[in-house]
This record gives sequence, C-alpha cells and structure tokens, in this order.
Amino acid sequence: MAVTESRYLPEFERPLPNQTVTLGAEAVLSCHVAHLGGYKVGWIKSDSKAIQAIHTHVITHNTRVTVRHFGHTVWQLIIADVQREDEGLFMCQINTDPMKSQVAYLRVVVP
Amino acid sequence: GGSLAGSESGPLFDSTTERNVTVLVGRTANLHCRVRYLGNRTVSWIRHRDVHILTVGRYTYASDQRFTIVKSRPTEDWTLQIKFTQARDAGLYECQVSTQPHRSQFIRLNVV
Repeated sequence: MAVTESRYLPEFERPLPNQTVTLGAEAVLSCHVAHLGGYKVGWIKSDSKAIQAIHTHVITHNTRVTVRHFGHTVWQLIIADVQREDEGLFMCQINTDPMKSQVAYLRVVVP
Repeated sequence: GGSLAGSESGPLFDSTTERNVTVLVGRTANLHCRVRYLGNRTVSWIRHRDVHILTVGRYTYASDQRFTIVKSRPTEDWTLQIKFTQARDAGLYECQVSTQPHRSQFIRLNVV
C-alpha cells in the first residue's frame, strides 16, 4: 500500500472514552488521531471481531452503522437505534506497522 | 427472513479447506478461505492476537508488507498470504464475511 511520507507517525491524541447509551438512542465513538498521513483508521468490535468500517467505508451490513470524519483528526463510528447486542468493546485502529489501537466499552442501558 | 431467493442460504464457506496450517519459519503461509454466494458482501481477514484487520476485500490494510490478499479470478478463494513467516505469526486467523450478523471461518497457523 502507498503511505504518504511524513516526519511523524500517527498517534492517538486522546483516549477513546467509554460510552453509556440508552436503548434506541444513537452512539457516537470518536477516535482522535494526529499525523494520520496516508494511514487509515479502522473500526472493529473487538469482542465479537465484527469489522465495522475502514476509513470512509462501512464494511458491516448492519444498516444502523455509519462513519463520519472531521478533517483527518476526528474519526467517528456512529450506531443508530442502539440495541442490546451492540454492547461491548469497540476498537479504533490505525494501520501502522506495528498497528496502533485503543478500545472503549459501549454500555447499553434500558430506561 | 429475507425476500430474495438465495439470501437465506448464502454466503457459505467451503468446509474442505485446511483449518490447521503448519509452515516452516521463513516460508510462505497460505491461509485459504473459499466462500460461495458472496453477493455484495466483503471477505476480510483478522489476526486474533491483537485484533488487527489484515485485509478487506481486495485491499490489504496491514502495512506489514509480508501480508497480501490473493484472489484468483475464476475461483471463490480469498487466500491470505504471509511471506517470511516468523514465530510470532503463529495463532488464530479469522476469515469473515460481512453479513449481519457476520459469518466466520477460523484457521490456526503453526510456525515451526
């Protein structure tokens, strides 16, 4: 793969915070990355290993999942109409060598 | 239940592929994943040791140049090729199809 030449390797700017979301609401996980360059951000549910998205492409056929980004810094995974089965660990990863990752727990509460 | 004919059955994994692969250190490992009735779904490979996404469709996401996806055109085989294998490559690999919920086949790689 082609990777843009850069003086700095990508790194996470801040931790991926755990989230508590009410059943049926929207969950937004935000991954903050500095110096992304030509590398790409990927999202995977780390407990079930279900790939969610790579860069701007949603991979899962779960129609409630979308991605959004602000510049090359903020990369978001958005889960609409959160269900009980969405609860678990989500990982944001960058395809550096070695790979860099951080995880957050999404808790779903029933009102 | 789906309304499209065939959507209930596919995609399906070819169960005859090797689930336990042993390779000599330094040699190339080929992990096969044959999927029938893929439709518009994506085949991906994941390394369980660190939950690293390695390939997605024909795209190799991992920057480690030893990893490539080999998709031979007439076949339904999505082969993960690992060159110059090292002891740390040993472990569980997952071939995943992007249905909802996803479907997976697991291969254990032994490096001796």
